Amino acid sequence: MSAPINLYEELELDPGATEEDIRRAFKRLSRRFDPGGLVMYGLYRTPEALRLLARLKEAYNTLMDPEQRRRYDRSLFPKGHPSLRRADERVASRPPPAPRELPRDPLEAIGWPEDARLGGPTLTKVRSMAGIPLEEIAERTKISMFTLRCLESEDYGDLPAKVYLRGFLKQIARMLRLDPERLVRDYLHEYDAWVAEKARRKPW
Amino acid sequence: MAEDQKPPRADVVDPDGQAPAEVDDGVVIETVDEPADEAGELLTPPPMPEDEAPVQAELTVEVAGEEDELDEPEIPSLVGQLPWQEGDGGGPVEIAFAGGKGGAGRSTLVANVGLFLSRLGRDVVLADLDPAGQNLHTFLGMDPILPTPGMRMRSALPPRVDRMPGMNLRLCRPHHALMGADDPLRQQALDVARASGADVIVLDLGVQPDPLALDTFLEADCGVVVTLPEPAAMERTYAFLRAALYRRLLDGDDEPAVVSRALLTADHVGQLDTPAELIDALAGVHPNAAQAIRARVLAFAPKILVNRCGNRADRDLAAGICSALRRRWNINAEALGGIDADDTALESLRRRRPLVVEYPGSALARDIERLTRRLMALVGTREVRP
Repeated sequence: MSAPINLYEELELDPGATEEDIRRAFKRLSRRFDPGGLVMYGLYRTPEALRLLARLKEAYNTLMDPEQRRRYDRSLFPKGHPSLRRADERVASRPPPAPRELPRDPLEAIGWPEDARLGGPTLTKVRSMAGIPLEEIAERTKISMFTLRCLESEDYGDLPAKVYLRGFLKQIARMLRLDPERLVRDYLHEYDAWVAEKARRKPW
Repeated sequence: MAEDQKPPRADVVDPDGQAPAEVDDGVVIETVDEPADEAGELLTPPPMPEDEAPVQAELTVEVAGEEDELDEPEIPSLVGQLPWQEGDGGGPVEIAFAGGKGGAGRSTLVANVGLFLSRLGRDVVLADLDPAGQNLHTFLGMDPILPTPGMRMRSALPPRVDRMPGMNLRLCRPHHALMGADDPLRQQALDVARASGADVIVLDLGVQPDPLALDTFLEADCGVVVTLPEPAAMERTYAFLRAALYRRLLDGDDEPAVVSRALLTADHVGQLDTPAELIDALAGVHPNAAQAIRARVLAFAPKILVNRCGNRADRDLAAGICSALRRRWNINAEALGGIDADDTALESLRRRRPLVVEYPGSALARDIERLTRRLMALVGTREVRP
């Protein structure tokens, strides 16, 4: 009887929800159930309200990761949910071919040396290995095609400010099953070096 | 249009009070004296004829000036099609407004929803059961009762029922203006309203979660809590709903309630925090009681309305409250949305004229019409009993 139930119900969504639906629902609900907000006053004590938020966050993280979501869906609807099937058809009807499943360790699959730094070329390689077109990344992450191209070719001069880069890189890493922290660290290390070099050459 | 406006039932008490056919003995049926103040001209009936239809037609013509095109196509289709007319035999439909905070606009809504229902051809009785003091007459432009010392002594004085001139609407209220929480006079007024033979009773229960208000709210076909987008009102709203839910679950002499009370008494550390946890605990010791309590929780379906909204977040608040209530208590609360803040409410009250009569074209009047139609649809199906 105790309240939710499954991750979709937690986010008040239909199992056929798109990533955009999930993103919106999470944003709306975390605002709605803000422990200091109107809705919670007189109904929830603060610790319980925080627990509710944590559950929302967990549902969001699971459903936004394509691989985790697939596994979760399979456990939730072993025979396939009607709306899920509809969502599959929607994906399948898109012009680009369906991406191959990502291997558990994409770096190993593309033969990337273990201690080599991750950067733009890594992204390009993993992407082409898995057959994921840039358009799909752009659609899922809402990052522009131009920025994605610059990220992959490491055209630092055309990239947005560093604060945005961090978030972009994390999102892409999650999609490609790379370690987000490692990608951000390696990529921004090079980026910082480039910025410093630029400043040294043209201090004015 | 005049034909369609005819009162749909034959057993309506005559407006002049000479044939209180269905009302219990001793009930005073009075017509309001012609209001002497400036508010009178629209509400004062033309010399009351034998049958009501022409009066209603005239009034409608007068009132509908600004919204002719709004009402005309819909009224005929509604009359006679409402589910409770088709022999469900359950007596009048009850719509109860309660809870929230004082000043949330409950009385404005009760008065104007009642007027709209009556305009849509229903025979309506409004019951003023607010223990904090009667006010509905003011919102309707009717006269207050000014109790004489003698009246105060006669506690057995039956409730007073007044017909609103020219409308198929009656106001039922206890004679005493000062009433305590357990006042038997309120119960009497409720009984009289229920026995009035009306199609619809709209109840103003006030904000106090006293037993009469809670029971009436729980028994109503549709129980609406009116609240405001501010923390104090939110707190009072949850307090009222909590009191109603606990009353439904725990206050009876039946087995599930007795078992639950015993369990809660034994729970010294207060571990059981929500109905869900109570049910889980019950399931171990008394599965039948657990099942019954679960059914009662699921059957509790209050309606939430947020009044005086100022922005989109306010208008979304009712949905947020319902979603939080579902998560916290597992109840099926239903959002009735938001009504925007509007000066016309205060302005019409100052003139002591009903809002939907004084400002029929205002945004607020339209919101109230929408609300009324939504409520009619809700009470049309019996499963939505709160």
